[in-house]
Amino acid sequence: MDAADLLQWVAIAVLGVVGHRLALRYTRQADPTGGCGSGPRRGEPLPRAALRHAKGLLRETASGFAMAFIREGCDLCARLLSILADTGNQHLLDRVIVVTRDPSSAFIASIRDIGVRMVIDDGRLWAGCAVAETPSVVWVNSAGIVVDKEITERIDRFVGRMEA
Amino acid sequence: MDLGGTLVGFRTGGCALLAFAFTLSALEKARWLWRGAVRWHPVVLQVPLLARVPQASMAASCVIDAVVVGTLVTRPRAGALTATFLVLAYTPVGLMAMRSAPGSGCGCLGSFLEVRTPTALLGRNLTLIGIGCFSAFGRPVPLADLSALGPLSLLIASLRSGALAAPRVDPRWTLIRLVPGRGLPERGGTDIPTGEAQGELDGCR
Repeated sequence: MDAADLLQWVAIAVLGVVGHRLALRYTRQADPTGGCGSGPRRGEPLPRAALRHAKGLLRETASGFAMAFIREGCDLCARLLSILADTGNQHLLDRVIVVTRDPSSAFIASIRDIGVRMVIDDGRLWAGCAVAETPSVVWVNSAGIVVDKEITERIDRFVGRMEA
Repeated sequence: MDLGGTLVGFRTGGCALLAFAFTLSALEKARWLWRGAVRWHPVVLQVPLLARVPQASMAASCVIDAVVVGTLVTRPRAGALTATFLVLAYTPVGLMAMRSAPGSGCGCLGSFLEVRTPTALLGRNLTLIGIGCFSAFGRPVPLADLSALGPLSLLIASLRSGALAAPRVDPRWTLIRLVPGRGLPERGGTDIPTGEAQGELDGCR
């Protein structure tokens, strides 16, 4: 194989892999909710069921809290969990509720190990909050109003920004 | 018609397809390692042996996939046999991961022909095993001896078929649009709210 052949192979491989990733990313970013976006709308109240769960789980919600909708098998959700696991910041863990849908027992156990509050959803909460993409992170203020939302694995930065 | 030559072409194409699948697999594993989230990989979660040493097992698997790609390119018969064996070994583990968390995927083979159900996973892997056997029991030309432009069409075809097979697909990425009104398969996490959930929708719309 000469240098030109090798160059062609490298170019094709890069093109193929980048194309494949872009195709997956593009299909994942398409918004099926027709403009509402993933998660409850900003400036409107969090659905009652979600708020009920949050108030039952958190010691205090006066300064607001984050709800992170994650699912098993999603690599960015895994990254979000690894950030929570490695944070060592109890204040952050106290501000976050992880909502996971139809998880396996191993997944539940791994989240419990982190020490973060968790809601195991059968799909109703998920549907009520119109979650279309994961990881979907929502910030809710003390009045139960959705202040901001984002598709991000960097929950530490999101919470930091909301509390600033 | 030169049937022998055609078969050699198909066998070589099969090796290229397997090489592409395993390249994606190795890159996907490298990405999980890079993100430091291996512990939550669907397969690692379900296999206690892997869960004990998640980083090491993922790294080893990544290296094995890369070696298979190298073998497929330089020694196609041996590569095809190894790839077949590996797909065979990955299948039960992938099925286990999918059954434990329905609809979430197994994160295996780098989302090549992204599959979301055990049946689809079985179908994809059996196809790859078939291609591997077909390529191994013949005389494929080493990919390293070919110009890269030859397999380009195969690569594009596999990308397109991947987009078509993916359940979370946007119509703009498909060659054919689905019948209007039937709609596309729902993507992960999206549900049409009904019953009680509809009542909870007060803040979402």
